[in-house]
Amino acid sequence: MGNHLRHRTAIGLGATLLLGLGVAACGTDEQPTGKDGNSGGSGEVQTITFWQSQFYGLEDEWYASRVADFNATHADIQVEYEVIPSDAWDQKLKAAQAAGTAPDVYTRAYNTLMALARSQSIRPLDDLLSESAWQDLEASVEKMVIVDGQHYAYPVLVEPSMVLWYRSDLFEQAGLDPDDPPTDWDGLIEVAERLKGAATDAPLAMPQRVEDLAWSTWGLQYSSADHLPLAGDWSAAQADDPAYKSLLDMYRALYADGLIPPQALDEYTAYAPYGEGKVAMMANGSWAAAGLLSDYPEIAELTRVAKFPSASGDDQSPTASLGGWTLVIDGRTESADAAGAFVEWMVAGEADPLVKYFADTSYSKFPARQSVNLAIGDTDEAAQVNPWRSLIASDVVPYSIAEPVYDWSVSLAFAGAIEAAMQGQASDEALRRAQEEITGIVDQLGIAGQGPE
Amino acid sequence: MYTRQRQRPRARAGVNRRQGTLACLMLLPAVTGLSVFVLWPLARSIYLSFYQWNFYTDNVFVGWKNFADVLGDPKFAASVIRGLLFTAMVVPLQLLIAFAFASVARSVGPRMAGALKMTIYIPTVVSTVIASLIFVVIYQFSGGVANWLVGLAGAEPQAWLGDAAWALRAMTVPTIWIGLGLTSLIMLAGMLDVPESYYDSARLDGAGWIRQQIYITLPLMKNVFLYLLITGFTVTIQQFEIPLVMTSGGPADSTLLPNLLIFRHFRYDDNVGFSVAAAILLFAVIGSISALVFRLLRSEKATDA
Repeated sequence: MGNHLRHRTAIGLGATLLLGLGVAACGTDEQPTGKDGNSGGSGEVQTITFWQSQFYGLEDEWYASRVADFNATHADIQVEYEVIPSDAWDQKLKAAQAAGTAPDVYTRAYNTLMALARSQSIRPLDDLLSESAWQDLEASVEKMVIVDGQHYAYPVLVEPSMVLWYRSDLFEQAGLDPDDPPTDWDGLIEVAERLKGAATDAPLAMPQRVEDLAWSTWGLQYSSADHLPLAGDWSAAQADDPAYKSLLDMYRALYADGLIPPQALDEYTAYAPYGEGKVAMMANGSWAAAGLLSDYPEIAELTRVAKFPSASGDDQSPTASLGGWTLVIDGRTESADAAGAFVEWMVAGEADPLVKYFADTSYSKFPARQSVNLAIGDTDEAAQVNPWRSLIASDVVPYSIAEPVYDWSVSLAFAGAIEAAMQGQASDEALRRAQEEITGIVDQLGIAGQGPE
Repeated sequence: MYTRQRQRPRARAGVNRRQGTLACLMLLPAVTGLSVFVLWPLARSIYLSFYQWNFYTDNVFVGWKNFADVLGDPKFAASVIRGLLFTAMVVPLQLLIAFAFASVARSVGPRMAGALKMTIYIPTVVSTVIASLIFVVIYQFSGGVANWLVGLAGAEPQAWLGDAAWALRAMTVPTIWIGLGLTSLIMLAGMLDVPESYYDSARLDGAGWIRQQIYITLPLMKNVFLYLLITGFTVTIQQFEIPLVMTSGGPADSTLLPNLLIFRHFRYDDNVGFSVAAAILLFAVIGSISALVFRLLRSEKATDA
């Protein structure tokens, strides 16, 4: 009976497997066919989807309000709007792309545009937006959305990734002059030593987790070595430049001496640990202004801002990268015209709604469009609302580098070196490993010579 | 009995056929599900692992390149070794605690046993993500419960999740905690299957508790241990949510387990060939080790339980 049953079972299993494979064979190797966008024939309502990465409260409200206004004023195009938590963004989008249900329009950071464009995940917008929309862009920002001669995104804003926020009252208590913040990394360590015990957890909050270090330290990387760890044309790794040792040594000293928390208190973009008095200084982007002003007004009163110290103390050495958000259109959308109309109306049309966006965010971000810059510049409101804006605009923004557009794994590799140095690894060894890893990435991806410079 | 069987061979064969058909019918739903949700995706994944592909451009055949990339990536090998180390820390301890719990639950009255079982099972129904967040709070350097306890003992506070020397060890606690309920209940079920008369006889012969466990409980629960060892191994080495939520694989990759590495590649890579090849190689590693454990421990029918 045993043999008999095994034989039957084997036949059953084989038949089922064949059935499964047969069903599979009926599938196709073609790429998914895309979303069910309505055809857009005359009189029909086209429905498009828009995914927005979750930002802070007032920003999210602005987006929601704009979408509602668009839907109210456009009978022929309706937008289905979804806010995606930032920590779920990548996997949700990737899953949607795999299923052929990616949103028609979505928010995207500058540094990802080249890879997305070259993999055809997003489509060029030149034929979808009016010429005046492109002409209105600030020239320096426009460059950031051009890949191989075409515009692949419409920028909303730029913001420097790192400035030094510090408490003037705690400086004074420690016998430090708030008008004389540190300008180089030795000075930063010295000031942090003096501020020991001034706050509950540590003197300074810095990006510490690898995924924060990867992007927030681009400016510091440039400051230490005058270049990034991958050559501009992506032909060769250059992470083993001994000049990078100063950055790793600074991080090691801050960590070993307890000048930054033993564990990251929160993600890099969070300002709450500073607002709650857990640290006396923090490295954070210009966006922190909006949160401090709205959530911690008393702390904001005591807060000063300075350009983050550079390796050499040179006040023109970049210590921040200019990043921000853009709107892109999915490469497989079947509603390109409707998506283009939505993008133009949303962020490339009238200046007033954008002025409101920057006002809602306490002028902590900087417009990508000349007309919006002009409208904001015509009022004194920006300086009154955000007391740090003019310093960031004059001392930080002009000396910030554009976000690098190379593969994210390169940034993670160098961030790993900084993290290893914090854990006590010798800087030479950490840089050697980063060099090997980045070289491996270049070989594996076959990207040598494909960089923008 | 023997005579009756010899006298009715045709009837016996008919029964066998009916039983065989019935067995196949009963297996059919499971085998269908397995084919659609496991075998087909596996076959498709193996096929796609030879291609460079994203979701927007045509697939490009690249032969063994994806596998070569994975095997040439020191982070993959390191993550597998780290996963094995993590498993070695978690599974034996989990089995030991579950065995101790099951022994206690077996020896107390039904009402107390019920309360114990409910208590031990609660972590199983807690979401792994929630459990991870709870332990992030517990492990906070400043104000965390773990450092409060350490302080009571007069020791210095530790950066449990910020220090590469501690992070993986710190992760074993929530991993054991979450898996303990199911492991304990299965262990208890196996223990209750051992006839009480064996223990009575052993006691009459003067065997103490330890000897009873060594000579009665453990041999008769061998298959239960084998099952728990294999499932514990496969679940633990594939642990993903806990390092993702608690440490994101850091610091300095010290908690970067294989599935988190694969997830990181899936999340960030433009082409997903690397992720698929890495998943297949991990499948091969886990399958090989599981087969080895089966072979070493030899699953047999318990002699008498």
